[in-house]
Amino acid sequence: MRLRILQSESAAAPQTRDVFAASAPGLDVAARTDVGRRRANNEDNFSVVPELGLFVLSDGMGGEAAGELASKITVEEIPRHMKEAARDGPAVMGEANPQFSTLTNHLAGAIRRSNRVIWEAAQHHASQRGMGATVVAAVLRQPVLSVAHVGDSRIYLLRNGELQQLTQDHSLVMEQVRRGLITREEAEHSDMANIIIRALGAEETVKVDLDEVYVMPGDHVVLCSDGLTKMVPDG
Amino acid sequence: MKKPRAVIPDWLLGGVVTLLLLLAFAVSWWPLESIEMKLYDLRARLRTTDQVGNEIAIVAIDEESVDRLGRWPWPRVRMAEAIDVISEAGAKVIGLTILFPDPERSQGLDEIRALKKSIEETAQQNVKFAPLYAPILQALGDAEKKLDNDSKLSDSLALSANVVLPVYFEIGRVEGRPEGELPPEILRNFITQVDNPSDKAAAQVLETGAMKAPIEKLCKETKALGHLNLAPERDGVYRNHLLLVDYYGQSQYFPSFSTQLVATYWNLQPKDVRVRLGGGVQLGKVEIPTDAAFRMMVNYEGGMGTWRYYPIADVIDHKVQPDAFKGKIVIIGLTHLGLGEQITTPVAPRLPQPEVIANVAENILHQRFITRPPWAGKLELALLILFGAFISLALPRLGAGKSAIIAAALLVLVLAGGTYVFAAKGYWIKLLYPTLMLGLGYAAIISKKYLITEKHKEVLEVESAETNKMLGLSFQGQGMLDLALEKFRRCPVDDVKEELYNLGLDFERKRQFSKAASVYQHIASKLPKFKDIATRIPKLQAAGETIISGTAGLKRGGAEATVLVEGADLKPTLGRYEIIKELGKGAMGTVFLGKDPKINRMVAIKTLRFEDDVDPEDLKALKERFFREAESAGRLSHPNIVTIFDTGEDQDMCYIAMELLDGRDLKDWTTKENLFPMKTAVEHMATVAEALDYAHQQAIVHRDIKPANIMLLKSGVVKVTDFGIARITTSSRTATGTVMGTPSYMSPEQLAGKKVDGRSDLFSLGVTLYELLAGEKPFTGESIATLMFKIANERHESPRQYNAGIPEEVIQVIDKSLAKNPDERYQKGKEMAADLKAALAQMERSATA
Repeated sequence: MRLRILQSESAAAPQTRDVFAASAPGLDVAARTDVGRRRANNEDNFSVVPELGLFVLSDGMGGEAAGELASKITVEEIPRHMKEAARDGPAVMGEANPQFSTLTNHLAGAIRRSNRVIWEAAQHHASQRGMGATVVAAVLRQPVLSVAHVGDSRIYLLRNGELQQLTQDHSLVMEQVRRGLITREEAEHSDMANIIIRALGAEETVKVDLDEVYVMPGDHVVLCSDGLTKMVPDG
Repeated sequence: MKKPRAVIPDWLLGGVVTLLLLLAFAVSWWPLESIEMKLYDLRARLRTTDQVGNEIAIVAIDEESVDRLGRWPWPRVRMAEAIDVISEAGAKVIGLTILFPDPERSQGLDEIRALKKSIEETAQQNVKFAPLYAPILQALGDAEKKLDNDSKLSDSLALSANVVLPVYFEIGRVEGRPEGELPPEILRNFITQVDNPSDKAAAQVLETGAMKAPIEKLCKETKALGHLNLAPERDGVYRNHLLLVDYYGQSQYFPSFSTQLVATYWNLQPKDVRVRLGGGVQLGKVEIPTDAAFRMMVNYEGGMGTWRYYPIADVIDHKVQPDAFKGKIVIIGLTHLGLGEQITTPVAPRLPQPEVIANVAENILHQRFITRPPWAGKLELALLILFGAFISLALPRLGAGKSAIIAAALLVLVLAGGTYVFAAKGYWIKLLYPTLMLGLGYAAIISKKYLITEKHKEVLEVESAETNKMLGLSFQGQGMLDLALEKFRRCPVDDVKEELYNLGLDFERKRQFSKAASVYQHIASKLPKFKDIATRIPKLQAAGETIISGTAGLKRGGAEATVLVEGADLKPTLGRYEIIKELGKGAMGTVFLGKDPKINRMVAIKTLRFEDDVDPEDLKALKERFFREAESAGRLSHPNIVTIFDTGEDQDMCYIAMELLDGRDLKDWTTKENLFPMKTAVEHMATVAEALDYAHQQAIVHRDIKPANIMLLKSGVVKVTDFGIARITTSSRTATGTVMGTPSYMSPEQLAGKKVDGRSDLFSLGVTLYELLAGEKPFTGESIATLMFKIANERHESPRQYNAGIPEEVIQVIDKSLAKNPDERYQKGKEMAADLKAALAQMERSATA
């Protein structure tokens, strides 16, 4: 199974900043983040912990330094939490969802923890006020992939040539599409396309969307932030 | 995509329990049936009665009688004596329950018979002396007669002509045919009238083998014969009575003793007794309900002594009143504990046989039956399925508490109902299975829930010490030491002593010595001897005091403030404005206090940052838009709209110089504890409505009217801020996105992404007015999605429920401005202002009146 983390790859590909490649039994990982043609800097961050089967991608926002900080906190604190959980405890931070496994619940707890860190940091430092981040994270414990996300970064599953989006964006326009107010086409061109209705750091607590899916050999899983999804259409 | 299921679904568990019970029900699984029998016995006790009819009397061969009359078995003449007395007293039927299968053995009688025989033979051989032998033979004959109790008995039977005697069968299916024919006196007892609704039913009747009957002499003189076979249940309790049995499986039906007692009592002819295959016996006019094996459930009228016992010794001694027996069924039987058969029944552990016989007869006489109605099985099945569905589907959804109440109610209903119909009507419904279904099912589902949720019970409360420790570690890892310390302080020192120590070291590395010292002191307050803190603290305290103020001031103001402050000497400027200090951070960028040196006026400078990934061409377009908007906002000259003086660009930052406002925004007056007086609020809103009207006439829509964008200056003037800028900045946000605040003030068309005009502002103003008067927003929701739905579709609650004193005119203004369809709202701000003013005047009038 291949797992790829792609971030803001643009059609032409100058300045590739971070490249990551690793292997774990049955697992190929590739990750790349690209500044793209427009930005001066990159607020996207990712981390991969092969021994835990953990993959995290975060897109920061709220101003240059603040955005970078938010996504950095996210990709650092989630692995920290998952390592601690693997070592110690059965306890899950925040409300446990009995429909999902303990592992998935720990992932949710990790995300809540980083939300808390970002939020408190933002309260504390005036320059960081308004900072936030999206996150999309996955843990693979064969044959189940636990998926968690907040915001408009996405996870796709590519199986037998078919691409399926596993997550639902927490953006205002997607909410409008879900309610049938506008079409997906209109959503992509809307003025309000960037407004996100759920993010890390916006409030003291955050609701994390969870899912568990079966994966099979030959599957590709792609985590990406919205830069990519805008540049590369689904087809 | 299939989802993995880590737990057994509730409905599956419930379904399994249901199926198991249905199975047990279908095969009448004995362990459960035996419990049901116990329930049956309990209910059977409810049907006992104090008053039995007076058709039956029991003549008891009891301990007293045996004492008086000698060892049992008695010579049969005693029986004859008793029967004579009872018969004389006028009894209608006598049931003698003792079986005499063999002739009485009497040695004396044998000797006399032998003697008589030999003398007869001698007499025949010596004809000459025959007359001599005659008296001897006569005497012997008399003695023989005296000793021939069987004859005496048969004479009594003949005389009384109403005695019923018992037979016993060998129970069980026997292959082959009976040995020889039965004599006519026995044959006449078989039931002749048989209805045959379905052949299959015939197979259910209990088959027997050989019959043990009284001696021929007696049989000839009986009125009727009936069998005394018992059919106890597997637990040895006698609940059913075999009304008839099938002799050798030849479809020859022989009735029971009790049946014959009643048939004789009622003077029934053979044609009056009908047997319905499949269940039911008709005795005269009475229909006795039975099952397919012709078993009748015995309705025990009471324990021992329900019928009066007359000791047989008294009867023989003529010590009993004749009317005790007149016209009655008299049952003679053994009640002696050691001699007679004691039968286990639901209402009494030991009941003598005569009582049981009497009970059955009484049941038939008075038609007091216990039956299992034909619909019983269906009802039980229906209940099982219903309850099964309940525990599988309803219970998991309702939770332990509610479903316990419902289950208990159902249980009570079933048990009470079942018991009632048993007691009142004699219907036996099997209550155990539905009860078990509820009980077991409930236990299974609830304990499953408990066990599974237990796994996740270990949930961390958000404020728990564990969480604080985790957050502390996170902050420390991110280098945010102050926040880390704050979190660690909330934990018991002992839990985080290591972490605190490391934090102290981190502070030291950052050269924040006094902070490090205070960390160690915190540890020391509980654990003074921990590691080396005792020596560290004094060293650090000394070091902290010699810190140069420059580095200590690092946190205050300096690097956090703004990118503009470069050195201490240069005065920062933006355009022609001098930047004095930072006033605060807005949603779009920093706001500074500036001075216009040309006219020496203090202004507020709002900066806007386009720091995101904006294409150079796009950036140009955005800037153009920005300036256009700023220009049109600048055209707005109204006492209640913030005045824009200037816009410009400097060092890649766009700015707007505007009127400096000394006051607070209306957000401060939106809580219940701190509301404006009503008149003031209405006044302010009227003012804003006028200002909006003016702006709309200049074709400028605000798009973000809310309390935070309306300022109340110290001078008492109300000013609307942030005109038009709201729109620009939204579009300047690109890929990074912005987190949306709650859209509580947005109009439905705004949320739907449609084009908005002035009327949208008036909607938002209506929301603001509501909030200022009620202290609550008209639309709230737990999530943004719910909120959006409510704004678009649901009517707002009347503000009166938060503030009863709001006058009707004002309510009408609110209602009109909050109409979902823009065409139904105020079309112009002027109209809204006019209505508000009118309401205000009305308020004044009512106040002074």
